[in-house]
Amino acid sequence: MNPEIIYNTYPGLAWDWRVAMDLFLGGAGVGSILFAVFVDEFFQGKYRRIRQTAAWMSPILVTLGLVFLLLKLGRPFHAFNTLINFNPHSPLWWGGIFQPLLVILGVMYARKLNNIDEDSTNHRTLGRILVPLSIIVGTYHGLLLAINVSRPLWNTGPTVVAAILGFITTGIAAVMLVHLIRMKLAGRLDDGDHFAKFIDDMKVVRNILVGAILLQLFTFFLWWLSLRFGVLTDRQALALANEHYGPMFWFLGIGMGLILPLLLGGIAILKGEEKDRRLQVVIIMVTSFLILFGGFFFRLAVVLAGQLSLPLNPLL
Amino acid sequence: MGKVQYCMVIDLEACVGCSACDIACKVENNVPASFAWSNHIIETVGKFPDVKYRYIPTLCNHCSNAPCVAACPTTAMHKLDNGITMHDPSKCIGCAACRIACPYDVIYFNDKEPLVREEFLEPLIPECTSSQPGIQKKLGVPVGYYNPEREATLPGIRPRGVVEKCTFCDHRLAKGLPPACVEACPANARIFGDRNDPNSEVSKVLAKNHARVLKPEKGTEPNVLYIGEF
Repeated sequence: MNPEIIYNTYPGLAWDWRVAMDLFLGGAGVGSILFAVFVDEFFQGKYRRIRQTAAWMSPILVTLGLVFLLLKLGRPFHAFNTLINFNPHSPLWWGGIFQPLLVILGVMYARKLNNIDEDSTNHRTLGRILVPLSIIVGTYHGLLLAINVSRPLWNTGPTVVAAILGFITTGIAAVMLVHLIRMKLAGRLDDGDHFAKFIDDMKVVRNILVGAILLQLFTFFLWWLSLRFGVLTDRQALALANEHYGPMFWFLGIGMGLILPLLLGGIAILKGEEKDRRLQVVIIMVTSFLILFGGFFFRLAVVLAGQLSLPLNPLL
Repeated sequence: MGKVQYCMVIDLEACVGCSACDIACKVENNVPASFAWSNHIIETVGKFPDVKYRYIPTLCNHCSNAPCVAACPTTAMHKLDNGITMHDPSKCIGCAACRIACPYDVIYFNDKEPLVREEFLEPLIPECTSSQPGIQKKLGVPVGYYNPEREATLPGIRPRGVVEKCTFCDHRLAKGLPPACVEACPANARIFGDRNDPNSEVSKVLAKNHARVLKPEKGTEPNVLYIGEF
């Protein structure tokens, strides 16, 4: 028989939407710099503008994420303490070191892309340094939650994998959305040849996106399995999360952020890209927006649900 | 004999559930009204007439493998040589990572000005009774009640934006006194001492009884242990 606890020790919510925003923006920033390096490496000489968009977005998004995190701190002006004290056991300490580094190197990379000689290997070396650095920062965003043994909902391997896949999907979506807006503002969407070629080459990116979404759905399934058939506290955490944040996670995060974009992507493929260019633009914009929208709400639901207090099980 | 490792044993059979420990802690450590460094869980198990009632006092477990210490990015949360998990507000950035990491929910965050009761900011009866700020000004004290001895190792009142929690009354231990909750317990249900000293009372009690901890599966190695049944 389960004990009924009539006075718990729960001292309130510690992390709110600002932490979710940091995870979301930081993840999108990591994804966008990887996208920039990817285009630079594999489409040498092409798509200078989308590369620039992606490279500049990364430091901006990561900085914005850090601003939200600073706003959540009780004493933001003491944040420098992270840099002058040493605790490698703390993911937050690693984040405090590596995120500013990613911003600084990201700005340097973006500045180099603004004015490069295509044969230059100088910026590519920097790009190759940025790849492992961004993966470390992306993984940190998962570890920040996953290392907490006190939070069964977060304390799983799939938490980290979901964070890594999340930065791939939201990073690509953020770049596509912002770049399309940038092209529209510059009047280049009307340049038929340019855009047709862009859409054609972006098939690779679309395939990566579809692959990442499918993997993310599979990761969520594994996450659910590990909790649903886990120990008592895992099952309690899952039941509490579903009770309080189920609609936000399943409907906004998974439904609108992953499944709907996947269906829209399918429509785009079936309709044929060359036939209706305008439809392609609309689908790319809507899909990107949905991935970003769902990406935020998925993180928000996870951050809030993970903090729901479980009953202290009776002494054995 | 190894180094000192402070530990508290709570005898649930002796405990009468009076909450004197909670009150003593608040007064000794100037704890804000909504916080409870010393707290308790009340459980009722079963259905009438087969009902079991339990009262379990809780506090910071001063874990040997403290997840709050590992999570703190600035080392503000740290271990002392005597096993106490201590917090240094001057290093704290208020990230609440320690609160998230703690499996026992015993770390509190000052998100408002501490020890301000908004309901007392204005006089209850204007021009008749005093407001809290009025009383403080008149008495020359920072709050209505205040124990200056707490300042020995920690700010007497912790500032806004940092966390706070039980320190095993380290300022009293330095004077050879037991923690306030131990002293206040009318049933001597709390036994405190060095578990590495075989002659200490706490070691003798642990040797004679089967001791349990909260959430042993977390692997935090708590230094607050329970014996007996309420």
